[in-house]
Amino acid sequence: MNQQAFINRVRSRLGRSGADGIPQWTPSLPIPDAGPTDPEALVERYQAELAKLSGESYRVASEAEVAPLVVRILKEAGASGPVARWDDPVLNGLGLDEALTAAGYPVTPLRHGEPGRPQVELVEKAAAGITGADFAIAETGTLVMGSSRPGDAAAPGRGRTVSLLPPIHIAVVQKEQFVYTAAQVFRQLRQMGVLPSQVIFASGPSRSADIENDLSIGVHGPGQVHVIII
Amino acid sequence: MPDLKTRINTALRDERLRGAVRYTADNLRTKRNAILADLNEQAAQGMAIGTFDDLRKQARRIKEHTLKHLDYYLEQAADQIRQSGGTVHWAADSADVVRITEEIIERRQAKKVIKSKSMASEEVALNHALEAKGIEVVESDLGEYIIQLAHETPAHIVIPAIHKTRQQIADMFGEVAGRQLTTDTPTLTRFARETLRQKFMAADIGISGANFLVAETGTICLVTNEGNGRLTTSVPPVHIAIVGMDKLVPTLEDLAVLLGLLPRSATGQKITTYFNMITGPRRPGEPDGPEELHVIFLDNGRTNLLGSKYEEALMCIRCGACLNVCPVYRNIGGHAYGSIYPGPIGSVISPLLTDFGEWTDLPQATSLCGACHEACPMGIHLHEHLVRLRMDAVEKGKADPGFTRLMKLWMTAWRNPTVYRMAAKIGRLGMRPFVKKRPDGTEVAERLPGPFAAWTNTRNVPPIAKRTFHERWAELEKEAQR
Repeated sequence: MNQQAFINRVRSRLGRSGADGIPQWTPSLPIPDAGPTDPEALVERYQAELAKLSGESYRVASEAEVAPLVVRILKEAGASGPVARWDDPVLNGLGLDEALTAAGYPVTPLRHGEPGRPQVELVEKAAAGITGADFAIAETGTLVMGSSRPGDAAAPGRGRTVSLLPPIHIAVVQKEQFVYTAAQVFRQLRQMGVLPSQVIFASGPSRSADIENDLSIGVHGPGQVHVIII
Repeated sequence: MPDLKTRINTALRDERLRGAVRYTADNLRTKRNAILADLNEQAAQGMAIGTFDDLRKQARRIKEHTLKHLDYYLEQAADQIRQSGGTVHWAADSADVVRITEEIIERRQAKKVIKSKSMASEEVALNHALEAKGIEVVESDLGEYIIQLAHETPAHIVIPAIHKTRQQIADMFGEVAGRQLTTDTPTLTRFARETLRQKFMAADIGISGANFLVAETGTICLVTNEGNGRLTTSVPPVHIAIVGMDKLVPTLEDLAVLLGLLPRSATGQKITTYFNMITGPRRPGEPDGPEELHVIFLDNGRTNLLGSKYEEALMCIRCGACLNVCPVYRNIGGHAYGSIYPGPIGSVISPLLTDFGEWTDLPQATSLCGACHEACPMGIHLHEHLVRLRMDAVEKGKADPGFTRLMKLWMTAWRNPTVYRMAAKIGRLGMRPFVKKRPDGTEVAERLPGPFAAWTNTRNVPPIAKRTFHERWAELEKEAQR
């Protein structure tokens, strides 16, 4: 069936023979500005919510502390082998590659724009994936991650799989990136214009309750989620 | 397929099934109630975007508006999907979905398909059609994988394998593994992860459904916990999304309301582990993601509801809350319904999508208690639609003619006071031989003969009162006059 026939069928059921113009629509929320705005309160709530979902979070005072902490997390998790990471300004200045390589975790290079799936194959073999985030939502312990920077279609280097395929996901977020509700994120994404090809809201490790309603962690996505807050 | 009565009786005799369904349904219902109480409390302190009732009202407003302008939003969504590099297809029915999918498969010379959970694909029985063409189709949601191995259909909209015990699951996984597996959840989960990860990496095409589709951006939204929805849409070189035309919402901001309702109502979670928003295929320069994105908009009978007295049933967000509270579903589970949409919502939409099709009897499989309406995050008046459907079935001549005649006779008799009173007297006398006195002095009929046995097979009947209300009223009136 073609588009016109499909739309015509819908129209005739709605009692119209042609287009009806642009509908007037204003999205609205019962409590539009719910929750605190103080970054400290947001971070605290985020950490509490993430803990409920079996995720781990850490606070560091400066960017310099990030790389050693990442190494420590990997060691404590008993990880071995290569590590994949986003090629993104948030991570590039943290000295991750040097620290990780020195600690025995070679960093998987990102292959931008190559045909086929070299990236996916490499990321799949990684012991851990390191990403940044665009937002962190305090109410639900959620990280929001675009496959490229939202509002900036010409800034690739992230992709979809680094936070997904490896068994451990480590994310680095800045205190300023915290908001309280998902509603605030949707509003901001809307204002930013161009959406990345994928935006993921991730709240804690992958889970399932499909076997006798018994909770299990790490079904298809990462079984461990570590969030480092600068 | 055996008739509804036979299916129900089979389910009722299956104690293990009933136990498993009730256990999980109870669990989901308890968690839902707790999370909604929490939401209301948070909203009262200004710490959530609204109470359950607030969100329900707002969600209805969104869906009512979208349905009223569905032609506009479908066109807008299609334009946006194309603009972000996707391809749009239009499917009037199941056959269209199968044909469109097969064309893509053929062009890509694909052999292996991986799927994330999609009720729309179940609705059009896509797996069977593709498997018949020699394509390997693997379900990747843990629950769907289990029922695929069992060659069954989902028994619940959200928890497909609600009726399977861990022993049964271990046996099926063991057969695939070629070795015996222990029945603990971590072992079974690890086996599924490893097996399905290989399937993901080898798949030529990933097929998903959609929970919402944002018209202003053409964004496909998927709500999942396991991550298989992310893998399906990120790893294979082609992503096909089958989207019921009822999934549209106007703007990104509208998602806040619906996302506030769906996970809470479905599994009692504030938010699912993953909420996935897909706008087009991999962009130039991006390191991963599918090269092709296809969106198939599906009608398959949905226009039957549009503009009709049943239109609000198109607001359903497939959370399954009405199943978990339904006294019928809780006793017979999903398969007895026969349709892939079970429970109250299934009994409403299955006949509507198919112009009654095989589902004329389904609106009878309900107690009309209204628990479904109360639980529904969209406030759909399910119990009222069930009654309307019964009336429609009679009017359209689809109902069982013998039963219809009987009900008409009943109606005529009960409208006539003389006949009604006579029937009460005859009933009282007729029941006498079957009434027993219990030790506590009350009287009860445990077994009645003939057609009445259908009632007493599963419950007791109190005897008709020695003096009916009418008789007592007549006496009272006389006394009052004295």
